[in-house]
Amino acid sequence: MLEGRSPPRARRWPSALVVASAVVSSLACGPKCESSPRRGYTAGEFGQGLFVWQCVAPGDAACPGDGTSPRRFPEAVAVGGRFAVWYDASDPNVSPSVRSPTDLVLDDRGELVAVAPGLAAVGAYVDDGLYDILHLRIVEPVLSVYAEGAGPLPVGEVRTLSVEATDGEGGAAAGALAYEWTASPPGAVRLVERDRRDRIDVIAQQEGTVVVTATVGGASRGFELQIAPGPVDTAADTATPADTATDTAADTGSAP
Amino acid sequence: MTLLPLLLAGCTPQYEVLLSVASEPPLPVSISTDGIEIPEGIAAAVTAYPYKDGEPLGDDTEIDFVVEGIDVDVVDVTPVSGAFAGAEDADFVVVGVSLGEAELVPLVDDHAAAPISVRVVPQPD
Repeated sequence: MLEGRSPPRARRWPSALVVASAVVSSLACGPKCESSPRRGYTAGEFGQGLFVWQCVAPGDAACPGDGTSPRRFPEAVAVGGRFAVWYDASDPNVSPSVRSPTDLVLDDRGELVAVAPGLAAVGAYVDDGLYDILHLRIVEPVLSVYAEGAGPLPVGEVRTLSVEATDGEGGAAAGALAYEWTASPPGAVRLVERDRRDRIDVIAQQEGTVVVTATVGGASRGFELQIAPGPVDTAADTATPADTATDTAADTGSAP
Repeated sequence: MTLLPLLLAGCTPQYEVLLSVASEPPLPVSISTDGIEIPEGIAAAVTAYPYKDGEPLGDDTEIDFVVEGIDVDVVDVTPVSGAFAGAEDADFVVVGVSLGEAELVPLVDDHAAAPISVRVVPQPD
């Protein structure tokens, strides 16, 4: 039914020509791109423009600097990652909107959320159809937790931990992730949320060993911290002999 | 008796739409006599070639698709807009939305053509 006849309209171009066409198309925005250089873009598979990554919240591994500017279009997106993609058509008269046609990525109030691993198409749509497509690689994130500073953390002191999501192959897993932070034992430290979910301030409260864990979806990673005794209060040290003397006096019944 | 169906069939034009993949999806999309097999999450541009009684129809033929079946949401077919820069002209994009099976019924100038079965399959590990 579908094969066995020569399609009447088939026009096979050499594959090199197709690649050349895609390259030309990726550069087609010319002066517009020169006036507003962007790094987080990639050419659509139909060769009609550029898909541009947009970080929607700090903590997206695609925007490691200020949290808003992508270093480049990510090669992988984390399951649970929230992001936005917009489309820059080579034809300035066309303004497609990007949305997901599949169940692997969901549209959520103008943003996209990766919900399952695999290759997932997103489309640039116009009124009369699909203008261009792009396939994203969605992965279960592998987490790494880092600390600013080293060595035991004295009681009362603060240390910031940060978590990064990777694709398990050394690349970043993009998308803003809603990390949850926990500590075990819970009373050993106090966790103070920062303005971004990929970082947490840890305030040491009890001497000992504590594991602070970042979790998102089915992925988690713990970080072991040694809590040391707090700094010795010089004034308290000075007062200690007197206190002892008083106690001693009380014990001996010589207090007034 | 046996001639009657043939005579009736001879009176009714038989429409058919052949499809070929016009883009290079990241996972294989199969189009065969058994229909279309496309992995979930994948989009593939296809070229549609309409026939009437075995004869190819011209470029001005209107083609559309209707999805039928128990779960019509497993596959999406959307017209291509703009100057598709692929190896062939592309008319539609077929998307494996979610796992399942459905049928595409092509409409050739509003005439229903032979249905095309679609299976949306899991992506390979």
